Amino acid sequence: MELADKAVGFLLTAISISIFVYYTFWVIILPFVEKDHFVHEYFLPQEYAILLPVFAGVALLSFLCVFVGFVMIKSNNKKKSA
Amino acid sequence: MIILRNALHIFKRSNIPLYDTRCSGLWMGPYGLTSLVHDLVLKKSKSMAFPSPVALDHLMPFLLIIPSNCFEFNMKHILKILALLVVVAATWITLLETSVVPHHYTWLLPVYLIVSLGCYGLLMVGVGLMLFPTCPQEAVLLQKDIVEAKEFLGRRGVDVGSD
Repeated sequence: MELADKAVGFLLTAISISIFVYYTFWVIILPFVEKDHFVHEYFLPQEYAILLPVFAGVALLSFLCVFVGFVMIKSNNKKKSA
Repeated sequence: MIILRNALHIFKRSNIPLYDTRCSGLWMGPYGLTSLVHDLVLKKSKSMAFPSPVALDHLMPFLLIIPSNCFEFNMKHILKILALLVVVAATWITLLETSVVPHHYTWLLPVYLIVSLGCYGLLMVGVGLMLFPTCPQEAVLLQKDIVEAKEFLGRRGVDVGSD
């Protein structure tokens, strides 16, 4: 039981730290590196640095709205039938 | 000397409590001083009365920044968050105006801050999950208690059949 919880927790921390490091590198450090360095191959073009978080945020918001609407409809149905 | 004597006379005449049990009492010194200055400067013309301590208490949450445990928790919390937001916005705008860093940097900064805030939240959740304390002995004891209670209530005729 606890092992599954600890594994999920460890996965979450690993994901969050990796996202933070990658994003910091992308936004802050990469503009100061000259264009011929090999590191640039590992990172997408800089426009995606804005598009990806915005896209993720919009997806999260829409998922929340859909979920809330779904739960409301289900409770309405239950109230109508009961 | 005359001014001092008059000041003391005014201070004694007004009903400013010298000791206030609430922690807003530490403002009574400046309050007394400002009411004194008010009386002296305006030559005691009662066209605009100095606000009484009771009225000031409603203004206090907007004036006090030092932490105190006298006021409502909600007001202090919201004010702290708002102040933090205002400070961040001000630094961002000054960065934009004075162009200390290249311009495309400063435009990316709010997005970066939001993403890092989300990352921090996720990190806290993950760390909390990892460090969550489970008590295996208590779990066993709890199961025993449940069995005992079910048996006891079953004997008294209460319906406990929900497994």
